[in-house]
Parts: sequence; C-alpha cells; structure tokens
Amino acid sequence: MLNYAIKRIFTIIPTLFAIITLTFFLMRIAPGGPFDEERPLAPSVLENIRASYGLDKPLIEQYFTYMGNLLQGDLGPSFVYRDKRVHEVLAEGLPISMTLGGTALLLALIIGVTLGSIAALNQNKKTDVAIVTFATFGITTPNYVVAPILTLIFALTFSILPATGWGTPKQMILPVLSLALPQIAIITRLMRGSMLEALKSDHIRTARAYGLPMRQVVGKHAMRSALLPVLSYLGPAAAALMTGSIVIEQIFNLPGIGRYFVTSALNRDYTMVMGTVIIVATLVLTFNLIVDLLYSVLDPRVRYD
Amino acid sequence: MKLKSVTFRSVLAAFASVCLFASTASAQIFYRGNDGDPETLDHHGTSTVAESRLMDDLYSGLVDFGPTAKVVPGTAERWDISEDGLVYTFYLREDARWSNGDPVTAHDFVFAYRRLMDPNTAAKYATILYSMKNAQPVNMGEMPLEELGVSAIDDRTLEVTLEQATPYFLDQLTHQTGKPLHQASVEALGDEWVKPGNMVTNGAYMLESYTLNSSIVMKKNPYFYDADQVAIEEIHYIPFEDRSTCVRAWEAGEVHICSDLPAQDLERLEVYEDSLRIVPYLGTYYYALNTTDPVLADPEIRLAMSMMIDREFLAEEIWPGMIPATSLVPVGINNYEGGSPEVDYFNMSMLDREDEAIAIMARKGISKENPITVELMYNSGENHKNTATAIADMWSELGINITYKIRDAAAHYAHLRDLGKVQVARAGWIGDFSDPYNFLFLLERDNTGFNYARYDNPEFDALMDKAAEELDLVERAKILRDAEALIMRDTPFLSIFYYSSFTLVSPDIEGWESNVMNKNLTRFLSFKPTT
Amino acid sequence: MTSPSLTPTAADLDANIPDNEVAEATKGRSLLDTAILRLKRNKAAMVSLWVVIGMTLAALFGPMLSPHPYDEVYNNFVGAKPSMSAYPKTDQIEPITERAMARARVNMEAIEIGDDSVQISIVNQKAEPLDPRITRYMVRTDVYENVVLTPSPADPTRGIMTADIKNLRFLMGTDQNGRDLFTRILISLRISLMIGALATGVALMIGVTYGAVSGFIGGTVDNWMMRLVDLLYSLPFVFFVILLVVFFGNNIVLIFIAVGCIQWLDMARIVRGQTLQLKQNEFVQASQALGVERGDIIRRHIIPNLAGTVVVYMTLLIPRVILLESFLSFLGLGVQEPLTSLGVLIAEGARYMRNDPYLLIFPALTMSLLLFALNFLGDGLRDALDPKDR
Repeated sequence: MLNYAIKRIFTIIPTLFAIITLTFFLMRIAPGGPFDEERPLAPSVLENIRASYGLDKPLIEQYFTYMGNLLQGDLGPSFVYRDKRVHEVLAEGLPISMTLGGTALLLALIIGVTLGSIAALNQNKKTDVAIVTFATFGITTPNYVVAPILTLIFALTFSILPATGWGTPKQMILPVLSLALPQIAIITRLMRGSMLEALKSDHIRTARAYGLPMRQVVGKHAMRSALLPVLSYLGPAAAALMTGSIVIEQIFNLPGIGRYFVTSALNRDYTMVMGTVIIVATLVLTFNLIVDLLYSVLDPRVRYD
Repeated sequence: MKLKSVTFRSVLAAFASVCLFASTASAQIFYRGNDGDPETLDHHGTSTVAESRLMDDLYSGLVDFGPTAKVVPGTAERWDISEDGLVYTFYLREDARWSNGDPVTAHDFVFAYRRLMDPNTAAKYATILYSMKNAQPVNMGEMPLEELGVSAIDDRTLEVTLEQATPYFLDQLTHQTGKPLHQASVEALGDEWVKPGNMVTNGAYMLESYTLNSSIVMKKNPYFYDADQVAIEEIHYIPFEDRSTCVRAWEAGEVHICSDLPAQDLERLEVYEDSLRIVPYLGTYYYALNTTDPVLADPEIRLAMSMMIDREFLAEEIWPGMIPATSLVPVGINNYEGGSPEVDYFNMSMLDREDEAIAIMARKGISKENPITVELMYNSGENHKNTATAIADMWSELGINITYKIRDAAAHYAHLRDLGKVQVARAGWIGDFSDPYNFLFLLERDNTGFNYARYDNPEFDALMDKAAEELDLVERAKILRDAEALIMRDTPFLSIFYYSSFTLVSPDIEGWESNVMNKNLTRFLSFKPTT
Repeated sequence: MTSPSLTPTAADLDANIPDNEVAEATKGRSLLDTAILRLKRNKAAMVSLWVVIGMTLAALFGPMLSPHPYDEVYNNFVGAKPSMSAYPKTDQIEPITERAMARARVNMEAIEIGDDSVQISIVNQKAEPLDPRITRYMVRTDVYENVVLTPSPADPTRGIMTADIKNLRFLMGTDQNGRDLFTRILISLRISLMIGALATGVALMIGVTYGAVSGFIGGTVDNWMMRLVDLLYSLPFVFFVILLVVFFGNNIVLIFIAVGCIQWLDMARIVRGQTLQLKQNEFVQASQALGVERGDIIRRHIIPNLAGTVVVYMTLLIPRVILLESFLSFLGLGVQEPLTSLGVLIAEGARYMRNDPYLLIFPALTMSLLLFALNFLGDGLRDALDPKDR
C-alpha cells in the first residue's frame, strides 16, 4: 500500500509535465490572440503589445521561458489583468472557490449518501419514489436555473438573504445550495444504485443468512462496497467543485476562479489558461490518488499488485 | 451592503426594508455597478467603457466631461488655439493638486503623453492621440520621444502641436488616454504605482482598495480643485459579468447603478419608471458585407439586402431598446451639422422596399426558387443570435439562404482583422469621441484591421482627405455627408441599429443626466436627502 | 435503516420475478428471453418504455404533423403566451390591424370585429386613390386571409376592407423570435435524443472497455492508463471545443464524437473502480486459475457484473450531455438556427425565466419527463439483466 502510494506520487510529476506541455502548444493552435477584441487595435500598437509580452518570439522559445519561470513558481503575467501576475490572481480567488466547493461537496456527500441508501433500502416504496423524483429533478435542473430561482425566493421576495457578494456567512448559503443541489442528486442516484447492488451481493446475503442484524450488515458491509462508485465519481468531481463554477460565480457575483476556466480560453489569456490547467491537474491527480487509496481501505479485497 | 429598498411595493418588501434600514446608519456609500473589472488601472493600458468610468472618477484631464457629457474645462482652465488650428496652448488651474498634495503641472501632461506614445508602454489606445505631431512615428519607435508635439512652456502652460488641424481634438482629449500621470510616483515605483496606497491621482476620487472580481473602492480626493462640490464621499465599483445578476442586486438594494441591462428584462423593468434609463448611445451595430466576395461585390445586391431588412420590427420585437439605423454615423453626434444624408429607401413603405429588393435580385437571376447561399458570421451572444435569425428569415424572401458561422469573440475578430474568408460579418462600433470622422474612417481603404468590408472607393477616400483639411466645421460636415452618402449607396456596411445605453439608477441618487456618451461622473452625483 | 419493516429481504428483492419463472429460467431459457420477460413484469419500466417510444415518435414525426413549421416566424406574435384558445385574441386585432394600415400609409377610421372576420374603413394618408396592393399588408400580418378591398365609389381615397381572421393556436406560446414553441420542442427533442443516444453510446463503449481493461490488468498498466484519463480530464475543454470549430466547422456528427470523447472519462474511472473490486471475486479468480483468457474473463464476467453501475451512470450522463450541448452551440459547435435542441431551449428559457417563464417551463418539463422515463427504464433493465438475480 505504501509502496503503491509512493509509486503513484512519482507518476504525478511526469503526468503534470505532459499536461502542461500539451496545453501550452494546444492553446496556441486556436485562432485569435489575447488582443483580438470588438474594437481592433492598430497594427503598430498591436506590435508593441505583442513585443512587451514576448509573443513575437518563436513559440519554442516562449515555451522554455515559461517553463523556466514556472520552476521558480512564477506563472507569468496575466494578459487580462495587466497589473497582476497569474499566480496572484489565482491566489486571490482559489481560497474562495475551495471554501465554496468544499462546503458544497461535504453537504452533497452527506445528504446524497443518506438519501441514496434510504431509497435503496426502501426500493419501490413511496420513500424511494419520492427520493428518485427529487434526484431526477435535481439532475435535469441546471445550476443556471436553480440559482436565480433561489435568489428570487430568498433575496428578492423574502429579503432574508443577500442576492450577491462574498464575505459574510449569509452570502455563502445560496451559492453553496445551488452548487450542491445537482451533486446531491447525482450522488443520490449513484448511491441508490450501488447500494442495491451491494445488498444483492453474495457476502451480504451470506451475512444476512447468518442472521446478523440489518443495521450492522448495511452499516458495516453494504455501505462500504456501495461507496466505491460514489468515490470513483468524486475524485474528478471534487476537483471540479473546488475550482469553482463560472455559472455560480456570475449569478452571485463571487470572486472565485471558476470563471477563468471559461473566460481565459475565450480571451486567449494564455498564461491564465496554463494557470487553471495546472490547478485542475494537480487537484485531479491528488484526489484520484486519495480515492484509489480509499478503495482498499473500504474494501480490503481491492489490491494493487 | 444594505440600502433602503424603495423598489418593492408589496407589504412583504416594506417589512423587509424596515429590517434593512437598521444597518444603514454609517456614511452613505455609493455602490456603482460596472460592466467588469479593468484590465489595468494604468490608463495607458485601458480600452473599455468600464475602465473609462473608473478613470473619469480618478483623473481630471485638460478637459473633462460635464454633467451632461459636454466638454468642459478640467485641469486646464482655458486654452488658445492658433489661427491655423495647429497649436493649442493650455493654461492649467493654479489650484490643481494631486491626491498627495503635489501641484499638477504641465510637465505631468508632457510626461503622460510621451509615455503613452512610448512603444515600450504598449498602450492600446495610443492611436486616439495620433493627431499630435509626430505621434505615430514616435509610437512606432521611429522617432525619439522628445519629438512628440507636446511641451511645457512653464509649470502651468502646456503647448500641444498637431500633425494637421483637427477640429475634434478637444473631444479626443476627453478620452482616458488624454489624462495626466503623477511623474514622480510612476517613475519611482515601477509597475507598483497602480497599487492601492501607491496610486496618485488628480481627479475627484482616489484609489482606496481593489479586490479582483469584487470591488474597487475610491474615496474623495481632498485636494481635488472642485472638492467642495463633490457630494459622494466613497464609491464602491462592483463588477458584474452577468447583467441579470446586476439587475437582481439592484432590486435587492445592493447596488445603486446597473451599467447595462439584459434586453429581455427591459419590459419588466418598466415598472421602475424613472429608474430605467434607455437613451441613444454613440454607436452603430452593423453587418459588414465583403465587397471582394464574388456574390457581394455587386453593390446592387448589397443594397437589396439592406432594403429588405425591417429595422423597425427588429428594434421593436427582437432587440427592444435598440434604435433602427438609417445611417452609419449615429444620431446625436457632434460636429455634424445637418446630420447624416437622407436615404430614399428608408422613406419607402416596407412592402415597396421589399418589392424593389426582390426585383433587384430577380434581375440578377436570384429568387426564392433559384436561391444562393451566403455565410453569416457572428460572435456568440444571445442578441446577436436573435437578430441574425430574424434577418436570415427576411433575406430568405430574396432568395438568400443563410448558413451561420458562429465563433467566440476572439476568434471572430481575429478572423475579421486578418481578412479571413468572410461574406457577411456582424460588427459594432462605439465612438471613441463624438465626431463623424470616428465612424467614417472605418471604411477608408488603407484602414487595415477595421475595414472589414474591404471597401475600396477612391472617391470616398478623396472626400475623407478633403474633410481632414477643412477647418470650417459646417463645410466639413457637408463633405463628410457626401462621403457617408457614398457609403449608404454602396452599402459596404449595412447599418442595422444605433446602440442604446441601458441603465438602472436608484431613486436615491440625484444628478444622473443620461446622455449620448453614456458618461456620468460620480462627482456630479449625490444622495437624495433623506427626510 | 432504522425500522426493520423497511428493510428488504431476499424475497423482496426478487419479488418481481415469480418463482415459476426463476425455475423456468434455470431450465435453460436464453438470457435475452429471461431479461425481456423480467422487464415485462416491471410496470414502471414498461410505462417508461412506452413514454420513451412515444417521445421518439413525436420527435420523428411531430414536426411534420404540427400546423406550424418549426422555423416559421409570426411577426405579430413574438413572445405570445401559451394559450388553449386561438390567436389573435380579440383585443389584439385592433392594434395589429392599425399597425398594418399605418405601414401601408393609410389611416384606419373604423373597425368592426366579427367572429371570424373584420371590416375596416380606411382613408389614404395622401390625396391619392387607394393602391389595391395594400391588401398585402393585411395578409402579411399572419392574422388575415381572403382580404378584399372595395374602394368607395364616391371617393377613391377611401375604401372598405374585409378579411377573414385566421385561427392560430400556440399551445405552449411562441419564442423570442415569434416561432411556435411546441413545434420547436418537438424538433429539439429529435436533435437532443440523437445527441444523447450517440454521445452516451460513444462514452459507454470507450469508457467501459477502457475502465475494465485498466482495472483488470492492474499494476503499472493501470497506473499509466489512469494517468492518461487524468491528463485528458485536465486539458482545457473550451479550447478543445474552439479547435474543433476551427478545424472541422460545424458538423453535427462531430458534436457526438466531441462530447462522447470527453464524457467517457468518468465512466472509465467508475468502471475501473468496480473492476478492481470484482476481480477479487471467487468466480473471476477461479476462471483465471482455469486459464481462461483475459479478454474472455472481461467479456463474460466483468462487464455483465458492471451493468448495474453502468446503467445508473448512463442515466446521469444523458441529461448532462443534453445540457452540455447548449454550451457547445453557444460556442458555435452544435445545432444552429433555425434548428434547436432541448439544451438550447432550456438555456434560453432560463434567460427569460422572470419575464416569460413558460419558455423555460415547457422545455424543462419535457426534459424531466424524458429523464424520468429513462431512469425507470434503466432501473428495470438493470434488474432484468443482472446476473446475480439469475
């Protein structure tokens, strides 16, 4: 197990390197540059700007410059926020996105696993139907529908919560709820399905046949193996949640970093694109490592030779 | 963040606003929604409307915008213009001060203008002041900075020499690129001078703090020459990427101003009566028709396409609030006595126009039964999409089947700039300053990067050159009108709408005079006295 | 979990399969027959199956049967509210007619509105005889047919116009461009069902195979195969889309491939996790000990046992793909006007939610109905196919 963990950690570095290199060249194939806007710049001006960012140099030279700076922890200047470096911009927003995403994730996990298990244990009964109905609506209703509706109800009609902004605990409630709802629905569905599977598996049936109390069977055995698919889903999902959501940030006007995943690509803010990719890649690699280790904790039969 | 909410009429809301009242005791803060965060607070790096709002509050130029966006004396209290219109002498106010107490001198302006043209600054909008002598060669690195036509005669006298007489030079100076810089701090602090605590400004306000995607806080500048008349003590500029979010924040009483509104909400927002401001804006929304395209090279076909568009319908039903355009230069522009030329077909009834357009196309062998296919390119956006869909429906009657090419904005404009393969492309232009030249120059043959239609008409270029040499504004307006008449005849750009500006202004705010420049400096605003 | 009465027994779990059938099945009925039989016993699944079939048929033939073509623009009914009764409403007739006459440059002096027809008196704004062509202004409103102009014999600048009122029904209203929403939902269903099925199919094939192979082989191979998944997961998706638009233009087949190529990643991870667990089971280990080839084990033992998880994840994937498509359309890679998709209708409806909520509600309900049906059908299929229940 320890061996495996160490082996995995060593694969993280080359994977990250591959991701960074691939992205660097991939994004430069896309047409347009960071200075193509509705109002075009005069050619003479454009030349000055490109030179000041080193964009006039050969691509391969730009790549080595970038990698050199990266090793020193510098993610380069942002094309869109010219007064800041990319790591400064990301450092401002990342804690906010992580707070928001982490809270939503925790909420989704607790509620989703509970609801999913309850539904499975009451398969085809009223409780189950109610939960499945809720989950289905949760999955079909995208964030950009849920969030404004919640705002209309709690901020505009009853005026008990703020509509926008960040800083106070009250301002966290609606964004966290909107972010968590679809995740609750997804986890509920996954959990219900895998719990049903688990209840049918041989060792659970055997345990039941031996007359072990249901509570123990479900809590100790079924729950453990039922959590596996949820965990598999959670690895990348956690990375996605923690890096923020542009929809939620726009609707509640939050200073997170989710927006950069879309806007940096649309603005061709090359250095910012690289910054976001590095963050996501690091999180994905880390979370998936944790998930894989948790597999063998939950189900000791799972082994990595 | 709480303000007394006056927007709700229901009992519930009345109850709510009582609750909100409790926390409004502290000094009144002006929460001003903006279209987005600035790229930089260094005004030489700025280009957007959102940035210009910040700069107008932070700096005072030689001339400034007054309450109704008229050009008024700013840091310069008066100026002389030489007979030939080439030399401007500005006399600075004695009481003009920077936010650290230093006097504002002519040297600060010289420093700022030289820095603007310095190729190393890489200023996006250096071109606005290319009217200054030697500005272009200096900006291209072909001449030393000292050759720029700006000099300080003494601390309070600034002399600007122009390349050629430019009757709209004062209008150009209102742009944020015309504002001064505090030489000492910019030189001493390097890139750090724009940071809160470092930044020294000479306008009504000074920078207090800047949190990305959250707020830019400004406090009143006590050294501002007109500080006695500045009523609002503190501004929080809040950036909104999503206009609907701003509307919700405004309705919840969290901001006083929304700087732009989503088209689909306008009808609903009419309940707020005077708070909803829809006024003409100095900009034109148009389709560029590629005049080198085998099909669209025929000016008659381009004309037929323009005639076929029912702009009233578009402005009423598809994009409410926009104004049907009958010219390239928008209505309400300065220095255009007599206005844009009249175009015959806009006086015809819509059906007659359609008949004639169909007849023109029929002569070319194109009809509904024998259609051609034309590609329409636009950048992603809901309003662009609805408009394009409606126009395609109108053109289908002419025998033009539209296929779409939709790209994100960067790819769209890069494609246009690089003169990629294109037939019809959406574009828009918001005037940098109020002069018809700022619209018509788009179609000059050598205006690479702007002339999306690749329009090449020596007659038009000759008229533009002639206008540039004409000093008499009335005479010049006539020449420009002739030039615009050629555009309307040849239709390289097919004007669809004049832009409108859409603003929500809290009833608590006084002094907001809506205007065609969409400029409202915070120094002219105040809170309505509470009773 | 707390109440013992809520806990299922083994009998509960098999409740939908009567004993005699289990017995029959063990006698050697083919797997498929058993599955179909079991599915038929599941009421919810059968109802869902019919709903899915019904929606598919509606998507295929609905747009042809609808009285409104999906791209027909009704200029006078932009954003018309949903209504069981026909348009134009009585109070709309006068303003519509007045506006039509204003555009024809004549003044309307009087209007008489009957049940199915109108009669209006008009006078030319200029002192000229009435142009007979002005009847076209009435026809163009989409409201009238059989328009007849009778000039007044005494004064040719005056006249009487009669016209029959058309009855237009917009059960779900019209959209922001004045097109019938119901017909647009039908056509969108066609597109979205296609996208959902194809993209999910691609994701399913790649994801299940890749995940099962990776998990079953394990070790270093598994490690690197999963790092490739991590790599693909980390690449900026928006750039991927932009590049697709640039290099391939807007091709509907491309959407399926693009979306499928992204969505298989989660599927692969989930399948691989399950495989790691499954391969420790006795029956797999036994096969291995007997020297059965890896490929056969994966095909015969691993994949069938994954069915439950895969089906559940598929029902999550389909709505995700359908909604994602609207983002692709926004960036120019996806269905374009005048065609539309459920994702696009929902995204657009969300923008109008405060002003014209029906633009959101109807597409969203359609999507929910589809998803409910798929969920129950999925559950039914899972139960029917599950080898553990055999």
